Amino acid sequence: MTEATNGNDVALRIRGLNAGFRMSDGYLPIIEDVSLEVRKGEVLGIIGESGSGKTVTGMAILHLLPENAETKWETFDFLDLDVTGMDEEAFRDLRGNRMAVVFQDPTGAFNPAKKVGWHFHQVFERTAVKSPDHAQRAKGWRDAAIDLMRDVGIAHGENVLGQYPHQLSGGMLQRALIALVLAFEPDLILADEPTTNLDNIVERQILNLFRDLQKRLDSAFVFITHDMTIAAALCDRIAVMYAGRIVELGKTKEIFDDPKHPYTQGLLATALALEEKSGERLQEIPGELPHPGNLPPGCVFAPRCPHVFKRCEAERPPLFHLPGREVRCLLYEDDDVAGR
Amino acid sequence: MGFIWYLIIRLGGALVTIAIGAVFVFILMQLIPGDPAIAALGENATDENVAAFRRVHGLDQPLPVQFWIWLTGIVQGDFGTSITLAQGYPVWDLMVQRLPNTLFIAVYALLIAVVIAFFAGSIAALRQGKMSDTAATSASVLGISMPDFWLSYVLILVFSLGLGVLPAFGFTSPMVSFSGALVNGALPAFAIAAPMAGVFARILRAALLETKRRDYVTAARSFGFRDTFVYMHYIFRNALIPFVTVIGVQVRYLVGGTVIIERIFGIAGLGSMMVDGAFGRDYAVVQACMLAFLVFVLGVNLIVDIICAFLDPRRTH
Repeated sequence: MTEATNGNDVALRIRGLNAGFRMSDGYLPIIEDVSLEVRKGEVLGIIGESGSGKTVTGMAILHLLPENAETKWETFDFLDLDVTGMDEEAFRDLRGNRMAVVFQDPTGAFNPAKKVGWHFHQVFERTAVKSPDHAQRAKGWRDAAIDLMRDVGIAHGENVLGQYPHQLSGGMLQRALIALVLAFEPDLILADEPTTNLDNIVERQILNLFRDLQKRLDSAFVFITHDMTIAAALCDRIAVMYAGRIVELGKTKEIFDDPKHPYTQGLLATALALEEKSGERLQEIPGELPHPGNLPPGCVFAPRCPHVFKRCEAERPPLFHLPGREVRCLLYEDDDVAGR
Repeated sequence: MGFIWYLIIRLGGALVTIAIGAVFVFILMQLIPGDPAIAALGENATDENVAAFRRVHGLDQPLPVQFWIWLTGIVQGDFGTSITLAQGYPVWDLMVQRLPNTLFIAVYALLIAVVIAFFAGSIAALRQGKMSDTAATSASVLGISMPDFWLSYVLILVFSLGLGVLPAFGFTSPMVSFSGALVNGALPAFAIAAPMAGVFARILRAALLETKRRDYVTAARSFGFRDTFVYMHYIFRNALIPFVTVIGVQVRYLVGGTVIIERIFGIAGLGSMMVDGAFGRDYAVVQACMLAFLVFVLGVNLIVDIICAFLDPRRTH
């Protein structure tokens, strides 16, 4: 936090994001008090198991949650814009050209009634407002699309343009989707588990592609994943989410070397056991993720925490600011440097 | 390439269906009690007269022979001769006079239903849960639940007897005056269209709402495309596929509708001819009408399937 606030290289800054859904039986809160920052050229990983609220966080940032969603922000700065109370039409204009998403399921991201080429054509048309150069490029969108596809490892882009999405493999579609996102040259790229639906070999290729892109581009990346090894390989910093809250946030290496939050510790132990493939029984965190409508009264992780003590079951811990680290756990109350 | 094959297979299937349909139509007519000779000559006809009548019209032949004569005639374009309805007239000539009327009313009704459904379904889906949605959805239920013959009389009561703007009886053939057919056909076409419009609107609403939740719609919004663009090219475009499919399924109700409605509004069409023919035991007339309806339903279904194949590349590619 201290490092980020000085320059204007911060691409995205969120403070106090709350989001939930209006259901038939009342309001269901999903995420609470999420705060994060991403700088240009940096990769922030959001890690958590399914149901932890990481995708809701990502979709909330792009204003892409379903109609029954409600979001509240204390601060939402994007580049030099304060978009906290921006109207939807103005925000729509930011999507695509300034911020874009690579989705988990590439097959579902394409219009099944249109050829892949149609998608490129429309996207290049959309970028035409960015500059006269972009407008020029939109006219020759076929060549530009083929060039972009070559960049993401599609050798015969000219064939792909003439095909319908259902005629292509998941890996090919994910590359094509990444090429579409790259056509926008966005300042923020959000990738929501972009390799989960792909087989292992393709997953490795796509991850390499991301690593390559991240070196080449000046964009800020938010990489949502449940996989600790992917996070370790790609992310500069990571935010660990549990039951709709960020429980720990810091530099990737520091978190891996010295996880503070008991949940992070458990997650790392499980990942490590998986990696070593030791014959022993897999070390798991006992218990399961609480349902968002039925959270424990105190710390949300208290029922599963090996270090739980009395106060944990009564108090919702705030985020404590340690040097270079943020942790939502009462164990670190005394280490708080921000002083709350 | 794939499409040509698809078309050949579909056309072949339609031909087989027509052939099987012809057998059923023929058997069905024989199962109906009553004798064409009695219907034509009256209750007091002498046995000799009846026997002579049966001999002249080939009714004394064994059934398979009668069927064979009828079938080979159809293949050569001869649908036989009317024996009671219009004695001595070739059935084909009767059909040619009446077919345009029925086709006109059927297509008119179909268009009304599709246009109403297009607006009602779209408004309901776009404004889901709001007043206009409730209004459109309620109107659909009303349309589905009103029997077409009842609605016909209500329409006559309001528009003919009450407001006096549209005729209650009689019809101008579209071959004579197209605008006249449009005006005179408005009430019968609407009576047939109402229940179909209700079904179509509900299907379109459901399809639009279902499509709206698809991932590709979120992806389209993530590209920053305008709402109208996303609606037209993603939501509406993909919801059109189930919508058009249902139109094909519902076309059979058009046939049932014309049979009743043509009687009520006094339209000289195939439907009313079929009813008259059935009362007169005029086998050739009824069989020809039923075949015509079968061809019509299959034809519309084929057209619908071809449109669907164009709308949904997953079917042909």
